[in-house]
Parts: sequence; structure tokens; C-alpha cells
Amino acid sequence: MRFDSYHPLINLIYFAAAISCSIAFNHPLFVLLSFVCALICAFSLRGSRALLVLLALLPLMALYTWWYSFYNHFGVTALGENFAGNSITAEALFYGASLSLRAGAVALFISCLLAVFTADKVVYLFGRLSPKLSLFIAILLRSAPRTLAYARRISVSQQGIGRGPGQGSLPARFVNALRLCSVLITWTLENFLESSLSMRSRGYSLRGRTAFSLYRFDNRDRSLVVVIFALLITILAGAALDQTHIYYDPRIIMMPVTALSFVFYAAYGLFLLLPVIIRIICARRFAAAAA
Amino acid sequence: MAHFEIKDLSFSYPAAHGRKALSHVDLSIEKGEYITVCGKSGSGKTTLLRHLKSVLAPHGEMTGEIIFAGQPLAEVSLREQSSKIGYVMQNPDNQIVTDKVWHELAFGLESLGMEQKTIRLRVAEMASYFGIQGWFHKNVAELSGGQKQLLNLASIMAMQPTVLILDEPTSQLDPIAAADFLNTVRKINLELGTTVIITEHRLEDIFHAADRVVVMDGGRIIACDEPRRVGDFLKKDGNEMFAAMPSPVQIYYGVENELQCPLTVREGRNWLSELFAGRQISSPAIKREQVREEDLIGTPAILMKEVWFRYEKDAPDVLKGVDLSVPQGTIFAMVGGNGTGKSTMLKSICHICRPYRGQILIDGKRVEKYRADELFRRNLAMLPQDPQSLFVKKTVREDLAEMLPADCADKEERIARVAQICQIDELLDSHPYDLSGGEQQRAALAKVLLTEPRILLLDEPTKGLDNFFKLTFAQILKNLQKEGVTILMVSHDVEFCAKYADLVGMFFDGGVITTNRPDKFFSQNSFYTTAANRMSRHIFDNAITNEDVIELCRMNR
Amino acid sequence: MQNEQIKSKGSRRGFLAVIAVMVILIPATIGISWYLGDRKYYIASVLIMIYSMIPFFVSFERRKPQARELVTLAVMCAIAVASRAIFIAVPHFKPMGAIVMITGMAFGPQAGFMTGSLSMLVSDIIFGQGPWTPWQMFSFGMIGFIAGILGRAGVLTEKHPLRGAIVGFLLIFLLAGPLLDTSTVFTMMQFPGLDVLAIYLAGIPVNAIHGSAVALGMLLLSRPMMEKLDRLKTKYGMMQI
Repeated sequence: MRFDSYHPLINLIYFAAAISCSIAFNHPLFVLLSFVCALICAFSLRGSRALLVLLALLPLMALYTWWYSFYNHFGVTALGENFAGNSITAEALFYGASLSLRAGAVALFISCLLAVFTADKVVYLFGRLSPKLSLFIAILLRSAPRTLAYARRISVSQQGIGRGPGQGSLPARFVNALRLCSVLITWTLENFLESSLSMRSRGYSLRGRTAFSLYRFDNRDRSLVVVIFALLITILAGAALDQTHIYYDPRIIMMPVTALSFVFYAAYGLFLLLPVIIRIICARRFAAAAA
Repeated sequence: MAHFEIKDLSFSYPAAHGRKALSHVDLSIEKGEYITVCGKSGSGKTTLLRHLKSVLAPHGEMTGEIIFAGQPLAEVSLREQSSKIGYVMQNPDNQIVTDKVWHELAFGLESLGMEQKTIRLRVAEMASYFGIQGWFHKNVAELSGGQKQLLNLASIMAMQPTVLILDEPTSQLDPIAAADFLNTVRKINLELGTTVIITEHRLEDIFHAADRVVVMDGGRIIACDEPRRVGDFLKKDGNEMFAAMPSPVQIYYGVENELQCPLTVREGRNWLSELFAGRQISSPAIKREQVREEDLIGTPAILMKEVWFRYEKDAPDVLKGVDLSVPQGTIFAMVGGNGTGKSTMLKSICHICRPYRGQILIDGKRVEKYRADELFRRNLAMLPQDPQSLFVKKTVREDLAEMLPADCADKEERIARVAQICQIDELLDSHPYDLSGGEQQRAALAKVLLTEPRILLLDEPTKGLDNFFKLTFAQILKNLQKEGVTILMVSHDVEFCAKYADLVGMFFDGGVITTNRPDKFFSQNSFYTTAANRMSRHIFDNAITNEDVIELCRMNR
Repeated sequence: MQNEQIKSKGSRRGFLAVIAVMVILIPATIGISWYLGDRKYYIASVLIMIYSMIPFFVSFERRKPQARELVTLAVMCAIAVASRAIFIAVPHFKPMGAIVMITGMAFGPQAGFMTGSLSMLVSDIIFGQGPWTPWQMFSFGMIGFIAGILGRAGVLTEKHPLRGAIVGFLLIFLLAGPLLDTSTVFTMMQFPGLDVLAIYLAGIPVNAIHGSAVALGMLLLSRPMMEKLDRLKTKYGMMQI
């Protein structure tokens, strides 16, 4: 059972919470946790493609940190001077690094989100908000590839009499492409009118339409919701106690680390790693069942 | 109580100037009956069927009455009509509305406002009954034509209709998918007792199964009886519709005898055996002129030498060493199943698909050596599967004119000429999309002919055409052949190829397996051959068309 | 007839109500992002754009669209999406905006907005989503919306293809192009040293080409497309959406 096989609403809640926490928390440990966990999630969900994202992100993040400390001069702990004679401070450097790590974490989580949210889930979630819009998007997702297929067929037909969009001189190609467009419009419009007949024939205009989906909210989903909320409440308690926040200006000030702090750290890490943990547990169970 | 009762129904379209699309139709359909409606294109079949469901009824002037299950149809609520009257249309693609198979199955149930649980059960039931489990989660775009039409049927059956209306449901399918589909319809009728009203022009598969056959002509019902008697009536009446009857029926009436009329190939075989029981067959074969040598030597119009092609670098090969030689001035038909690469072969001849190995020679010159305007002017042209994909303008005339250069002096003459060849003189001022399938096909052919091709490629030219249009189309092809045009067509239509082609090739798994004259080709095959041949092969050697069998029967009596 | 009027009034009231909510939501969002500091402009701006699209989607949900309208709009969107692929053979020619504008002209501002924004959404679902998606949805939605308003006002008709071409160019050059550049600005603005002006300046030639393509598309497509839509309106009795 992978994380993306859970109910889409759970996926949505998880990513919304993960991304907002990564943006909001600026405590160095939390920032580091966000980034590392996001990275682990990305590797677990997207495999080696996450490496590409990481390779693209790292130089940008480094560049940004350098840039930030170069142009911002708040803080009291001077580390040196840049060529313009302005001081480079530890506070600005740390803050810049934390900003870029947060941005990196968000980017990684977004890449996970895009991997988990297939068109199906997007349509489903839209459907919860607006059934008609969701039906419309479902129709669109059918009609767009279909129109593309029509375009391909027309293109072959036109090429068969020497008038394809890739044949002839450049102006001729342009005219051919326009002709293709024109045929496409007429043809698809006529065909789709039959689709509207088929909709009406199956009672589209009746009152009280429901929206069916294959997703079920079962006990597995419910138990995960409980876990997610328990962890989130712990994390929010930490936020309320100012454990997730530090000040960089004029100098770095943070709440003292107590035993309780470790509870918050653990909760946050656990929460962010949920997809990975679920995956590992399931793999274990599967292996046990198979053996 | 009758399921549907049509009383004195007349109808005319708004722009028809009093010409009636339906006139005084009376028909009563019992519960659980299987009714086949046949008739030429434009005889009012579709118009009649559409009147049986209010949302689909065409606009126009209607008189008479339709009663559904004891209640006037107009008073039956939309909700009841939606679920109780199922309607499957011609084009499988156009009826599918959503992007997922499961969603499409649920569409009608969502409209009826059913709750999740019920829909889940019904959808599961349908997927199991129709064997859809394997592709339940797929995108609709990945399905084949046959699967799409099956999905349409299943998504309608999910609403548990008591009557199923099908308007030429298999005209866009290949023969194998079509037979599958019609068997499923038959199964629904037998197992669930659903009333079935179906129109078809491929009567072979459904004529024998029908409880009653309704024949329409010019908006009237001219016959409504059980299949055998309808055959008898059409023969005695000398009606053109007789040409659409299944082969056994046509052959039966071509031979004088007192036996019972066969409806299927099996019955036909028994009938022939009985006819010649205890009799010596003196001439088991038709003598045909020998293959003319000059057909096979000389420069072939199209020559393919070990052509290999694939669509993408890592995709499997579609053409695997195609060898083909089409002699000049012949009609060459390539038959073969779906997805074997026949259409790709045509595309590679047009240089739309570029082979990575092998040569294609048009008139002895390699196809890639031609400039695009050379290749497609007075040389090569392809008539596509979908004639609509060629129409650009508002009238057929403008559409034809658009093919010619603006400074062309004899524009009118040339248009008039192709219009005459393709028999579309009277259609020149209509909108191309208002024409029927067969007329569109001919208008598209006219457009293609304006490039004055000497080699004409046809991709499934008889798809969706009824027998009369096929006849006209065949005449046009024969006339073109007389003018020296070489014709290469790919087709599923075994009967058509047997009758009109000079040479037939079999395409399978990316290559041409065999090429021969139709009589030899089809008498060698035992499955992939015409109904007439299957029916007579145990008695005659090389009879492949209905006319062959009739002639041999007469010779041996 | 009467009933219909009431209905349309109802949907208009809903529309206004949502706009009122927006008037509160947008400044609130700006305020909160201000309060939070930390340069969260990007998120704030995306939120604002999403708010501004809500009324259209809400009114779509409220009025019960006919099967025919739904399908026609779907076709227009699909064609807009497909046009992205068709013109691959002609470099730099992206006529998608023209098709969105024509839909707006033919079916009104709301339909124009829906077509513009949803065709962008779907094409991104097919070709790949990213942080630019809401920006594209918003800017192309606005193009359709404005074309719809101008069409209603009689400024844009198929009888004046040149006018359509000019409006098309301006809409891309002055509205959609800069809006999309702004999305780049916001993503890049995290780098304080980068000159905002430079990004906009770099966008000018690209937007000019894009604008000309749309203008050309309007010039060549508006009349034939309107004719085709008119044919359907007369053949199947389609109403204004």
C-alpha cells in the first residue's frame, strides 16, 4: 500500500500541511528537518528523478544564500566585508540559508505532490468542490486527446493529397496548417454534438445528479487521518510555544531547547516522513505475508 | 401488451418542403422481441428509431402516436425514458463523454441520482457481464473501436433498460469486432429478455437471429415479417433491398428449387448438399481466363522492396519487410485484420511514413526522389478512411474549387467532370456534412481525383457504406480503371474485394503473406473468405461470389 | 422565458456576491502577506488570482449548463489545446489565444473566461503543470473575458478581422505576456539583485512574436470559425452561453 493509494483528500491534507509548515517554520532544526524529509520523500516517491530535481535545486540554493548575505546587512556578528565595503553578517547568512532551504523543501514537496496527484485525483477533488466543473474537466480530458487524435488523422488525410502542414514551402505549410485547423474545428464540432446527444440520452439534464468516484474512505484512511491530526496538533502546540520560530534580527535568538522540544522535533519529522514510513511498513507486511 | 406501439406515424423535416421522411408507419413491437430494421440509406430507418426516444426525436412536423408500455411516449417522464429506453448510436467515439472507462459506465447512473453504493454495485456488475474488468481503469483513448462500442452498450445496460435501440452500431467496426458486438446484443436479448430494435446494413450476422425483419423504403414500412418470408417478399417484389440480403438467401433465389430457404452459411451448405444429393457434379469449377502475362511484367505502378518501418525508435516494427508489386492499371485489394499495418503501408507509399530500410518505387522511381508537388500532382493520391477530414468549405462545389489553383482557366469544366465521374452532380450545392456517408465518400473521392492521380490509394473505402453505395462506388472504380488508373485499396471487406479486385493480397504481421487472383486466393482460404465460398466449397472448387455459385448450380442441374 | 430571466438574475446576484467576497478577501490576503513579511508575494499573488477565478467557476456551477453548451465549450477548449500541437511545424506560431478570443466573441465573456483558463489547465495537465499554471489560467481567462465583453459591445465582430487582430495583439502584448512575465518576476524576485525591469524588457520580443501570432490567427481564423459556429447555431438551435 503506497501513500498515493490513500484517499485523495488525505494526500491533499498531508501536502497542504507539509508545505505550509515548511514555509512557516524558520527554526533551523525545523528547516533542516523540512528539507531532509522532503528529500527523502522525493526519493521514495519519484526514485532517481528526484536526484535531477536536487541537482537543479542545490546550486540555486547556494547562489541564493550567497546573494542574500551579500545584499542584506542586518545583524551584529560581522564575518567580513564584501567588495563594496558592506559587512557580511552571520545573521544574514543564516537567514539566507534558512530561506533557501525552505524554498528547496517546498519545491521538493511540490514535486512529490505532482507525482502523487494524477489527473484522476485532480478531477475528483474538483468534484468535491463543484460536481459540474469536475464533470466538465472529465469531458475536457476526454475531448482534448480526442481532438489531438482527430488533428493527426486530418493531417494524414491532407498529406495523402500533398497538403499536409509539413509539406511544401513555408507559406504553403502555413496555409496547410490553417486549413487543418479549419477542418478540425468543423469536424470536431459536428462529432461532439453527437456526444451531447449521448449525454442527454443518458439523462444528463435530469435533476439531482450525483458524482460517482472510485475512491472510498475506509478504515485504513480513517486511521491515517487520526495519526496525521495527532501529529499536527503536537506540531501546532510546538508552534504555539514558539518552538518553531527564532529571530535573526538583530541577532539570533531562540527558545531554549528542553526535553519537550524533542517531542516536537520527533512529531515533525515523523509527520513529514509519513509517506516513507507507510511504504516501509507495507513492504514489511507484504514480505511477511508472502513468506 | 405491446412494448412499443407506433400508430400512423408521419414525419417531415422542416426544410424538406413537404417530402415525408416517414409516412404512415404502423408497427407494434412485443416485449422481448428482436427486431431488425433494414432499408437503403435515407429510407427513414434512423428517423424512425430516433422517434422512439423523446430527447433524440428530430425537430419537424410529426403526426400519429407512439405508445410505450401502454402510455403515450410524450407523457413518459424524462427520467423513465432515460433509464428504460437505451439507445446506441453509430459512431463509438462520439458517444463516450468522459475520459475513464469506469466513469463512463457510471455516467447514466449519476444522472439518475443514484448513491455511491448502488452505482458501485451496478458498475461492477456491468464490468463483469461484459468482460470489461481488464480495462476498467483505462483511459478511453486507449481502447479499440470494438471495445469503445462495447463500453457504450455496457454503460447503457447499466441503467437497466427494458428496450435497447441500436442504430447501425457496427458500421464503424471491423468484421470481427462487429460479430462480437452483435453476439453480445443477441446474448442480452436471450438472457435478459430485453427488447432489441436494431438497424444494420451487414445483415449476414443478424438476419437469421431476428424474430421479425422490418423493411423500409422511402419512409414507409414495406414489409414486416419473419426473415424467410421477408426474403421471399423482396424477391417477388423485385425490390432493390434484395441485394442486401445475406448470401445464402440471394443464392437460394438464384436457383430454382423447392427446398426451404437457408439463412446462414451452415444452412446454406446443407441446402446445397441436399440440392446435389446423389448427383454427379460435372463441372465443379468456373473456367476463367488465364492470368494475362502482361499484368505481372512491365514496370509496376507501385513496387515495395523489403520495406521496414516503425513509428518510434524504441517501438516495435509495424512493417516487417513488405514486398509488394502492384501492376499498372489493376485494382489491387489488400485484406487482413485490424492493426496488422495495412494503413501504415499506404502511408509509407505516400511517404508520410518514412521506412528505415528498403525501397519504395513509384513508376520505377524512388518515392523520396520526387518533390512533394510532383508526387501528388497527376501521380499519386490517397482517399482517407474519414472522408470528412478533407472537407473545408461550405458547399461541395466550393470544396472542389479549393483544390484547383486560383488561376485555373477550366475550373468549372473540371469540377463538372469529376462530379460526373463520382455521381455527385446533384449534391454540388449541399454542405458536405449534410450528406450521407456514401455521398461524403464520393465527394471526397471527387476532391482527390482533382489532383488527376494515376495511382489511387484507398483506405477502407467501404467502411460504413450500405450495399447500394458499394455498388455505385465499385462502378466508379471500374470506370477509373478503364481510364488507366491503378488502384490499391486496403480493406476488411472480403465480399467487396472478391467481387471487384483483379488481385488480392493478404497482409499479416507487418508483411504481405500471399498475392493471387481473387478466385484462387479465396478458394485457398477456408476462414478468411466470402460467405458464398464458405457455403459452396464442399461442392464447387472456385466459386467465390454469389453469382459464381448460382452459375455453377445452374450448369450442374 | 420569465423563468429564465429570474434564473439569470439569480446567477447574476450570486456573481455579485462572490465579487463582494473577493473585495474583502483580496486586501485581506495582501494584508496578511504584508504582516507576515518575508516576501511571500508569490503565494499572495497566486491566492489572489485563484480568488478572482472563483466567481466564474461558481456561476458555472450555479447555472445548469445544457449538454450542448457544455460540449461546445469543451470542444473549443480542446481545439485551443490541440492548436498548441498542430502548429509545431510552423515555428513561433501560437494561435491558442485567438481561439480563446473567438470563443469569447461567440459565446460571451463568461464562456471566454472558462475556455481560456480551463484550456490552459488541461493543456498543463497533459503537457506538464508547474508554478506557472495559475498565471496562465488567469491571463488566458482574462483574454477570453475581455474579448467577450468587447464582442458584446459590438467592438469585436467577425466583420472586422483587422480590429480583432489589433485587439488580439494588444491583449497578448500588454496583458497576457506581462502577466506571465510577472510570474517569472515573482519566482526570480527572491533574488533581490535581479532587475525586475530587465525581466520585463527581455519579455518584450517574445511577447511581440506571440502577439503577432495571435493577431494573425484572429485575422485568418475569426471569420471561418464564426461561420462554422453560426452554422451549428442554425442547424441545432444553439443559444448564447
